[in-house]
Amino acid sequence: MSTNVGDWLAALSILALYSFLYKENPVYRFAEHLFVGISAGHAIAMAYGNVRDVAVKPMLDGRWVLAFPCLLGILLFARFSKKNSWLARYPVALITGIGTGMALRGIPSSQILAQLNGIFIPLTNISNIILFFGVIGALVYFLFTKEHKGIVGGFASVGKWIMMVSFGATFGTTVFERLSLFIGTLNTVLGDWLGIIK
Amino acid sequence: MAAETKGGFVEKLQHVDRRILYLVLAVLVAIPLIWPFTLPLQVSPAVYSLYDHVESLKSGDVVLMSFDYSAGGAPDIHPQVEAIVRHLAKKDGVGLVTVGFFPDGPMFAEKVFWILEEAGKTYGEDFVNLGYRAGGEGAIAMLASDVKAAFQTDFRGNDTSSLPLLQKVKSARDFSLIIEFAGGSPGPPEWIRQVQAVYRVPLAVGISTSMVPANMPFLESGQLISILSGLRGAAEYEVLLGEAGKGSAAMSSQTLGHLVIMVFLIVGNVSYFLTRKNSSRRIS
Repeated sequence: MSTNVGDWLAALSILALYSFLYKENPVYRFAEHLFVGISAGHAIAMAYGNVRDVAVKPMLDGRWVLAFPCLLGILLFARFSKKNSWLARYPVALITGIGTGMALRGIPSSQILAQLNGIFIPLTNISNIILFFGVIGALVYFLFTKEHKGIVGGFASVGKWIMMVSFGATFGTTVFERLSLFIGTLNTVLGDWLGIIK
Repeated sequence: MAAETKGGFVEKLQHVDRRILYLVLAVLVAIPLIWPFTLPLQVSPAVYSLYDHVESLKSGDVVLMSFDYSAGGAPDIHPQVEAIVRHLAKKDGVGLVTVGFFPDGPMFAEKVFWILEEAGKTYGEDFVNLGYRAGGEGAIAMLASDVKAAFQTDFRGNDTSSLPLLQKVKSARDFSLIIEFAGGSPGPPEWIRQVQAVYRVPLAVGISTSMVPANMPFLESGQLISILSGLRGAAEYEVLLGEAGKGSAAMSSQTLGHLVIMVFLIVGNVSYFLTRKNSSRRIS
C-alpha cells in the first residue's frame, strides 16, 4: 500500500465519489463540494497567473499600451453594478467581434471548401460510395423548401439513416470513453494506492 | 405454470437493481488489470500514419504538442502522450515544445518529461514547456503567428528568448509536426482553422474517444494526418512502438467491459420485447 499522501487523497476521493452509485450520502456530498472548491481555487490561481504574466509584468517593463486591454477587462466587472452594467457591453462586443472574426478566418477554407473537396472522391469502393451518398442524403434531409417525396424523399431517408448510424457511433464511443475513465480510476485505487496492479 | 415462471423471470430482468450491474461491470473490468492477459489488437491506418511521421523526423526538427485536456479526460488521453513522448525520446536531436490551452495542460506536460530526462535530454535545449495561455482560439492564433511574443516566459519562469530550443522556432511554420491532445474546446476545429489551414503544417490529434466521430471528416479530407482515438489509440501506438504501456494494459479491460455492456443491452431489450408481447397477449 502506498505511503504517498497524494495517492491516499486521490483514492479516497474516488471511493467517496463512487459511493454515490450505492446511494446519495454525506461522504459523496463532501467529496463533491471539495472538488468544486478545489476547481474554483485552481481556476482563480491560473487566472491570476495569466493576468500577472500577460499584463502586469510586461506593463511594469514599460509596455504601457497593455493598459488599454486591461481597462477593457476591468470593465467586464461593471456587470455586477446595476447602475454601471452597460459599461460591460463594450468589452463583450469587442470579444464577440474578435472571436467571430477569428473563426471566420478559417471556417470557409477549413470547414466548408476542404470538406467539399473531401467528398469529390472516385466511387470505386463501398466506403467511398457510402461517404458520397451519405453526405448528399444528410444535406437533402435538411432541405426544407421541397417536400420529402420521390427521389428527394429517398435521399432524405438515406440521410436520416446515415445520421442515426452517426449518433449510434457517438453513443458507442462515449461508452468507450467512460470505461477508459473508469479504468483510469481503477489504476489509481488498485495500482497507485493498494499496489495490487503492478 | 411454466409460461408464468418464464414471464416472471423475464419481468424480473426488467427490474434488476442497477447496483448489481455496476458491481458486475466493476469486477469484470478489474480482473484483467489484476491478472493481465493479452487480446489481439489491430492497428488502424491513422495510427500508422502518425507513427511513420514521427519516425521520419530528423535531427533539428521541432515538434509542438498542445495539452488541451483536464484531469477528467486524462485517463483516456494521457496514455497517448506517454507513448508518443517515448517515441520522441528515441529520436536524436528532435526538439519538443509543449503548450496548453486548458489550465491543467502544462501540468500534464510536466508529468511526461521524466521520459525525456531519462533519455538524456535537457530542458531548454531539447524540450520546453511554454505553459498555459487563456483565450482559446485567439491564443492559438497568437502562438501560431509568433511563439515568443505569445509566451514571453515559459511554465518554469524562464525568459523564452533565452532558451536555445526556441531559437529554432518563430511561428507555427517552423514546427515539423504539431500534435494536439484534446478533451474539449479548443480542439481540432480550432487548430485546423488557425494553424493547419493558414500555415499548412502537418497536424495530428489525440482526442477523447467520444470526439472521434465528429472529427473524422477532417481526417477523410486530409486536413489531419492522424487521429488517435482515446485509450485505444494509445494501445495501438504502443503496439507499433513495441513497448506495452498503460494503453495496452487497459485494452483487455475495455474489451470485457464492452462485452458486459453488450450483454446487458441485449438482455434488457429482449426482456423488454418479451414483456411487451406477454402483456399484449393478456390484453387480447
